[in-house]
Amino acid sequence: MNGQRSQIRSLWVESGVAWVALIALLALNMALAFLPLNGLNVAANLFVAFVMAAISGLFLMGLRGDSALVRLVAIGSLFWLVVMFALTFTDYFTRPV
Amino acid sequence: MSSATLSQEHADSDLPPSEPWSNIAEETEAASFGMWLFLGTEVLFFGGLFLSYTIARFLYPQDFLEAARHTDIYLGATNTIVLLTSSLTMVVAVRGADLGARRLVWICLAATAALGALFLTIKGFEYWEDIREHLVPGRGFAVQGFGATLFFSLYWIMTSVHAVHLTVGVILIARLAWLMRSEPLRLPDLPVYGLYWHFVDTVWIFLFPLLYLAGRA
Amino acid sequence: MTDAAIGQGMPKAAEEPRSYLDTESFVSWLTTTDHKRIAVLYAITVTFFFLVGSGAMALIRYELTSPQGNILSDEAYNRLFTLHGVVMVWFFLIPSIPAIFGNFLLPLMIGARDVAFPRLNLASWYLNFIGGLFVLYALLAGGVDTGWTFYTPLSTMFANGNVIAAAVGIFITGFSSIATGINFIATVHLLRTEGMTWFRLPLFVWAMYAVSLVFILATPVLAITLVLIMAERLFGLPVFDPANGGDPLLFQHLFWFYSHPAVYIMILPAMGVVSEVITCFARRQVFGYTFMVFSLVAIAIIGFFVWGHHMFVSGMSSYAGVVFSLISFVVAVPSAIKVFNWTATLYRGQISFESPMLYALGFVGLFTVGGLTGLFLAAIPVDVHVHDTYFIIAHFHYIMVGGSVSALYAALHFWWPKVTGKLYPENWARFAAILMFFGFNFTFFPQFLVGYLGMPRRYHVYPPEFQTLQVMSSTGASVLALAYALPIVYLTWTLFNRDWKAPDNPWGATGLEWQTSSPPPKENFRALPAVHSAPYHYHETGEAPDPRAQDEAEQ
Repeated sequence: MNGQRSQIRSLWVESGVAWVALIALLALNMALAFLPLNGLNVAANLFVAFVMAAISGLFLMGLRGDSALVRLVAIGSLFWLVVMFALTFTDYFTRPV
Repeated sequence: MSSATLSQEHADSDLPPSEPWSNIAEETEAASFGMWLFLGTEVLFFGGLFLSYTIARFLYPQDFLEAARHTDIYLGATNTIVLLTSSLTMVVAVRGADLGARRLVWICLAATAALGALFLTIKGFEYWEDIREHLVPGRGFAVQGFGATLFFSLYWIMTSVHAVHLTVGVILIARLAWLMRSEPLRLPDLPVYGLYWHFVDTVWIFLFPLLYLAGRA
Repeated sequence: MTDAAIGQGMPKAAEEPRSYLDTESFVSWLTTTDHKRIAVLYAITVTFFFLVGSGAMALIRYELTSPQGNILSDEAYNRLFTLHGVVMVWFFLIPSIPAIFGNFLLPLMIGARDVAFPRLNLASWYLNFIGGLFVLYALLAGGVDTGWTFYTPLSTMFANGNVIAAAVGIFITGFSSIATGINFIATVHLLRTEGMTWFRLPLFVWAMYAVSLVFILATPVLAITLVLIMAERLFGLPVFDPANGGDPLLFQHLFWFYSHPAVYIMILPAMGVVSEVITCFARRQVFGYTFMVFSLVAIAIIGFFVWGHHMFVSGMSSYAGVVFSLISFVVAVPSAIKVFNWTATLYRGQISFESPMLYALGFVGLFTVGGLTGLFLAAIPVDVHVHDTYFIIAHFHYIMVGGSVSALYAALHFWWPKVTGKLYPENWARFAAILMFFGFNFTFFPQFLVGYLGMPRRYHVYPPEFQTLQVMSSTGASVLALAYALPIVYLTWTLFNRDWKAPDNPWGATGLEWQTSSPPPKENFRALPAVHSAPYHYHETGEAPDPRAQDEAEQ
């Protein structure tokens, strides 16, 4: 029983670390939004969001320990999104202004 | 700790595996794989919305960003904290099941559902405020410009679609919490619910900067 | 999990396990999780929608026999071809081979007892059927006049009709596709029997896997597109509306991102069927198995990169057009590889012309014509001339009807003995196959001509000089309809006839599904087989045909 209790405690600690990191990154993102970065704000915000998503994926969703197949599914769907964006923008980027 | 390391000692006290699986570990691995595939489809589902957002922002950058300043950053940030905390309780519930800690599991599941419901309540209040401030495209829309109309159109659509996903999650997690108070732990179910919930949280992690932090500088 | 390899013959009747068809009750069919029963449920509903769509086709062809239109108003005609397109695409072609034959055969072909998620499989069928009824209601009670493509701003702002109801129904059905895709992928990854490595999988299984990739990556984008239509039409939230700064072309990008891969959903399973049938009736190993596998996957993947070829004349940037045109040429290559390999498979074969083989060979010819005309269309200048004409209609009907429906009928005749335990009258079947081939060409080849001459699609009033070709097409359609109806009649007849009992392996084929009884028992196999060889082992390389089942040990 004690073994379980200490396991539960370390579970809370490990998960808590991830939570603290996510909250800190949220605060960082909000701060970055107000800095005059000359149009790079969105890039900075999205970068931080990606880091947060990576923490969520790796530490909360289990991607760190999962099989290569599952990681392939995660990366594959993101890659497909990139394809959708890229090919659609071949139209929008090259339209006559 | 992934579900693949689940020990067999739980097998006796928990529900037997469903067909066609011959043991719980196999069924859990299959269920998680199936949920990851479903989340892959959700990436593309929300992806269509993100694409629409990107194009609207690309076409009308100025009024788009001007309109974005009208979202309530405090409510948005509060909701983000609520959702991140619900992910904390969810991951403890899922991993607690591996430890066989039934009480921890159902309490954390209930907490997750409650935090989700809190998110929806705050969102509902925010919607009411937005309506009062005439931030709905159509007659009486308060902000000028094509970009503004598109921004708020997408704001309403994206947050509603997210809220629907959240509501489904809250209902299913609350139901599971209720069942886990007395029934044997459903080991293959928990990672599946966890993955779905974390995904809904991750979508919000992207929605928040795009809808609430845009145009603030 | 696996036991010893199955021997040559099946044991006596007293020991035989119950067939999956033996029914306790009607209700047990509606609550089944047996993939074979779910396949039969799909067969019933898919056939129903085929009949509905065919009825619409008959009315359309009748209407077009006269240049002034016969019996329909413009508005009614718009609703009719919309109904034809929506029902045939989403409720007939997309489910047909994967939901019926994929569900039935996938676990059998890999030596499993069921799919990975049997309850999800049943949910799939209910979603498909309920969505279908929803859409049918929308289409019949008032109708939709936008065409199956739902282009904005017509669909969101100006169309009079049940656009929202139709969109909701299609949205619901989309989940059926997604669930099937998830089920098949998990099944192939996790439930292959001992010895069934990836490169020993029959090509039909690879086709199911490839189509499942398309199901899960493409369908969600359709779903969100429908949501956006509903948001704009129902809640007045503009996204595509140009009056509010929206871009109608964004709809087309999102719609075709799904709908082009959707046509590969309709052809990949057909290709899988053809590989199974041609190898069996030529008694040959398939030529270039590895290339066949990579071609299936390549078609599935590259098919996602070409959607802009539907938009060459839409106002899209011409530079984007060039990119999509180039990739559209590339996507033809793996299909061509498959056609060459099927042909090469026939070389030195002991070819016999049973009805499945007739349908499969018909597929190869008709698919080739459809595919070649696709190459014409990939060239932008040609497409500018024939876009939105009957040339396009002929092109896609050659592939979807000449191709996929031929393959569906091939599958129906090839696996009928396995699914139902009955044989069918072979002479009628051969007659129907040949009749279909001639009826099909009679129907659709004139459409290439009339389209090239300038007849627009979706018009029921046309210049009188096109009438001859249109009447030819409609005449052909009557023959085609007869050819499609005939098998439905005689196959149904065999169900009520005691005399046509099928052996386990009437064709002497090598797949694992043929190594169990016809029809199979509920648990598929008494003992799960172990696989020792590559598929289609109809002969040793360089020697005469000597079929060895996949689970037979080497001699």
